[in-house]
Amino acid sequence: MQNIKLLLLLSFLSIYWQSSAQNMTISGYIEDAKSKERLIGVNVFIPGTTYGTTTNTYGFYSLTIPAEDQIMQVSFIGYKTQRDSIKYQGKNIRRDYRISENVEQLQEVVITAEELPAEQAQMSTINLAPQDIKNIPAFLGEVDIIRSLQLLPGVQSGSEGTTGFYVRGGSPDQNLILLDGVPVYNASHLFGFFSVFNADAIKNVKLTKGGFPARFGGRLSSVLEIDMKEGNMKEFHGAGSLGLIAGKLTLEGPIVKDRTSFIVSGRRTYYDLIIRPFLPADVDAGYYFGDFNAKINHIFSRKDRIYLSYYGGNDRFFNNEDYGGDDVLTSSLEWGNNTGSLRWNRLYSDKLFSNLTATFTEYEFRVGSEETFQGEESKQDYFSRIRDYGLRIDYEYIYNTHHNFRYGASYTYHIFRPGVFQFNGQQENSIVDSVFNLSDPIYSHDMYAYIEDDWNINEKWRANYGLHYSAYHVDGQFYNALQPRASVRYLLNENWSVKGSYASMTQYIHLLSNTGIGLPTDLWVSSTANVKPSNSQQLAFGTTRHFLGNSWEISGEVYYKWMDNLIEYQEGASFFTSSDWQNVVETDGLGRAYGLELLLRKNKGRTTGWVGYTLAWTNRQFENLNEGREFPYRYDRRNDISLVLNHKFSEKLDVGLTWVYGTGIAFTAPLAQYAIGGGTQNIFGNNIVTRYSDRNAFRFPSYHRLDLGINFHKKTRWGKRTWNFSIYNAYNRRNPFFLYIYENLITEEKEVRQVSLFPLIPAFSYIFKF
Amino acid sequence: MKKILLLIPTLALFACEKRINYDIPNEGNKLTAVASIEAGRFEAYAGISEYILSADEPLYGIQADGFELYENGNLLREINPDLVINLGSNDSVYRYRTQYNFTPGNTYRIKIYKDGFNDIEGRTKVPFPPVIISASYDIPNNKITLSLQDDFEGEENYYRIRLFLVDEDGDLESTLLSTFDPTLEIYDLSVGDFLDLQEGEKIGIQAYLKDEHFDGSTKKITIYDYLGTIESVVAPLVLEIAALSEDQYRWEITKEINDFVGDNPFAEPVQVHSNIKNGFGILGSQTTIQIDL
Repeated sequence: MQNIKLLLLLSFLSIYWQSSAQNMTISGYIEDAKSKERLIGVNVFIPGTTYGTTTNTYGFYSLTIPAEDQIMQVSFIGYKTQRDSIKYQGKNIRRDYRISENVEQLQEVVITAEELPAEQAQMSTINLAPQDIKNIPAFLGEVDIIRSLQLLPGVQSGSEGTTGFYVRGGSPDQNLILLDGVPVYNASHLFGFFSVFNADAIKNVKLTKGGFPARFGGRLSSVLEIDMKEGNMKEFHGAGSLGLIAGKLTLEGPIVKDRTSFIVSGRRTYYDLIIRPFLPADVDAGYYFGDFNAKINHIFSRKDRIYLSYYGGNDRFFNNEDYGGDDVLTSSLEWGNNTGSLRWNRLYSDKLFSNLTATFTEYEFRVGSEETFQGEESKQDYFSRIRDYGLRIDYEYIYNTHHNFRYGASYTYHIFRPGVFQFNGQQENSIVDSVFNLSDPIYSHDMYAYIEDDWNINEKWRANYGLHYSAYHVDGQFYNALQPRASVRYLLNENWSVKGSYASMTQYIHLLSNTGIGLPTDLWVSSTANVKPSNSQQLAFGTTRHFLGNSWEISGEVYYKWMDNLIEYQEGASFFTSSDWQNVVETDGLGRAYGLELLLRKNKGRTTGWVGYTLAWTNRQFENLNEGREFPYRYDRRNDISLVLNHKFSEKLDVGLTWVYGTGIAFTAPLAQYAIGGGTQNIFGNNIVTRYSDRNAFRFPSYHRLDLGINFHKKTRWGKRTWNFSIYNAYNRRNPFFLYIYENLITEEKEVRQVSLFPLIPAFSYIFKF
Repeated sequence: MKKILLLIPTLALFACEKRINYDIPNEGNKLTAVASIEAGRFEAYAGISEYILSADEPLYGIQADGFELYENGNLLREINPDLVINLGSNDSVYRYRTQYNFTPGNTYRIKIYKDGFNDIEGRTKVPFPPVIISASYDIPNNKITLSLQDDFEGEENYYRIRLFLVDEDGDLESTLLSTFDPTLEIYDLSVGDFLDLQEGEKIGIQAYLKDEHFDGSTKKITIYDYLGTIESVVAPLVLEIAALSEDQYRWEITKEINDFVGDNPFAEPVQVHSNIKNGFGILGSQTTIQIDL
């Protein structure tokens, strides 16, 4: 705490000293010239000096420079660079820019950067643009944001094919996924094979793995920010695709030109429609998932703008059987998210920007059936749900070129319903109508406040430091935590920097999962009087260097993260238990994760891509698991390699390739069997007990896979179309999904069998844009 | 034709199953023991484990070459087996049993040996009998209240509570108990599904209790005769409180959870507790008190 006070004092002294010089502030918004969509991460700088900044999430910038005539440059990858002559007029200047896409330039971006990573104080951060994601060969022709993130160092995939992601040894619930600032609790469709984010409606994706700025909190391992497009203010446009399993359509345009725009985007799978003709006449069964995104934004004035956005998506399995007559059985299993936000941007002055956000989010899992049989009716329904209402205010105060302050506060009201079973039935002489709360509802209040400063100390040194204070009230229990954050960068030269960071994080809500697959049955639960909030602390150090005209980048980071108060299901417990969930969890768990991440990336030219390598360890320790000894986490993956390449032969043809390799998932192996008597499990009347290895002491066979893709583009009278052909798992590697012991009942011989999910899968999709 | 088309995706998945050469280490066959000390009686069965990929079944109730019982490090006696089931050769079942006034607080050890196997050993400290300050039965409310005194502050103690109905022949038949006490652990995980439980209520055949919440002091415990509650049946009840050795406690709860999980391939495997050195199994002990209500 003493050090923090000293840091704050130094900071304020520095502010005083720096503000005494005569300066002027240039501020404004930067937009796409064609669509008027505001652009995130555009570089605004004075060439030949260290004065520069980037636009924030709402396209706003503010730059304080010496009060004299200046040449300002605005540049953004994929756009034409603009230079502007600034005449000093004795006051601050407001200047908005509209920049145009550089259509002649080859599509060169694989990963875009707000500014060169070597220049940023923040580390462990990666941006992905939708185009980057679309260039990566897609599984079943469906481009997927989270699947693309899994190709980056420090981000690991879960089981074969799934979109759960594990960042630096954390579990999936330790990732804060924000869609337009709203938390999304379940980001998976079809048991995790697809994520819920429709790439056509997405403007920008940013993942932070460590060195978290103080404005973020509530999760231990990562923050994934996904911004939806805003809608074209000038013209009506559309885009869509038809693939093997799903179709998508996105429409956007002005409602009132240059003032109000909209974007709507929908996606639905059609597997249920395809198989319907092949089902028996008395059966109506199938599965589908769908998403719907909508956003409206309206400019009230140069200072005020609002955004209203919505996302709804669900998965549904259904089976309806007609027994004949009035007898019928309908059953379904469904889950999905609904999120909404209303945001108000206000520019108070050239230096002060605010954003007020009201949010709503819910995730619900429901399984139910209804049967009428011989005059008797019965209906049963199980559901679990988490629902949040939130309000957040964020301010950004660009004091001068050296200090950019952010501060704000947030309140969220959580309602947890971890398991409710309802039954009602009507028989000849009786009616039963019952609701069983397998676990009681929990209501909690979640609050935080933060302040951070992005401090450009001098030409070499830059820091981002701040404090995040969070508080949580549940069931009369009050938890709070002060979480200091700091990142420091030192520039060795203009292309090479070294960085270090420290972040303390606290998480008040948890996901209970006992399968490791990421099923929709996993329960979101709250910290309670018995289950304490989880905490983590992470130290990271790294270096980044650009070379060959900044077209290549190499970076390396090491990290060490320790976690406490983790929870996990007790051995053998499951979500569908008679007990309150609090009775079937192990608490007070410890976790350790450490590793090395390397990335070599080429950003420019006809051939772009990257090679990523992660060397990592992650362990857990619970008093009642593995006899209290530390054990490897299920996704403790020692080596992880990803290769992503994209080559553009011409405007009409490009190809993509990805290859991934990972150490096998950890598992607990059965070693021997012995009999304990007193049962009936074998023919001798003995209970047979399996003796297992230490928890997660063995590994599945390693995972590797090659995906290929090719795109044929063509301009048409109405716009542009692309044929995409892709091959998932091109050399047909049988990657393990799970292993089991198979026993031949005739010969009584046993062997280890591996079940794999996806062999070589070719796919195609037709993509259009107008 | 329709069926064939439907089968294609299914077959595609099943076609992805294959035999693999996975090196599961074979530690060889080991001697096993399931042994308990209870109510002045020692009873044990010896067995032989099998490698997980072996086609042979593990053996239970084998005749060892020697079976020794020690008290506080001194040989108490060598025990000869009884032939319980005579099926000839390897299929016969032998049991090791002896009567003795086992002393609470003393440590007992078994050693079993057989030619071709490593000797195995297990040890247990016999717990002191639970001290019941009071026990009462509120018949109209099916409510049983007892006051339990924990012994030796600083020592970890484990208890098990069961409830029995006394049938017409005077035999004891275990019955369901329920409780709202969060410190009581109930692991009959499948029993309560879909029963109309009240908020915070747990139900099972037996409840376990660790003294971490009342170390060295007294704890008041309330349980209910669950069947009595829902069926309004009034029958004589017997309350049983057992002090368990730590190994006995861990063995019982892990065995129950293991039974519950069964063959679920997605569930995290449950390691049934073992305290047998060089082998597998259990030597546990318990001291039990029964109270007629």
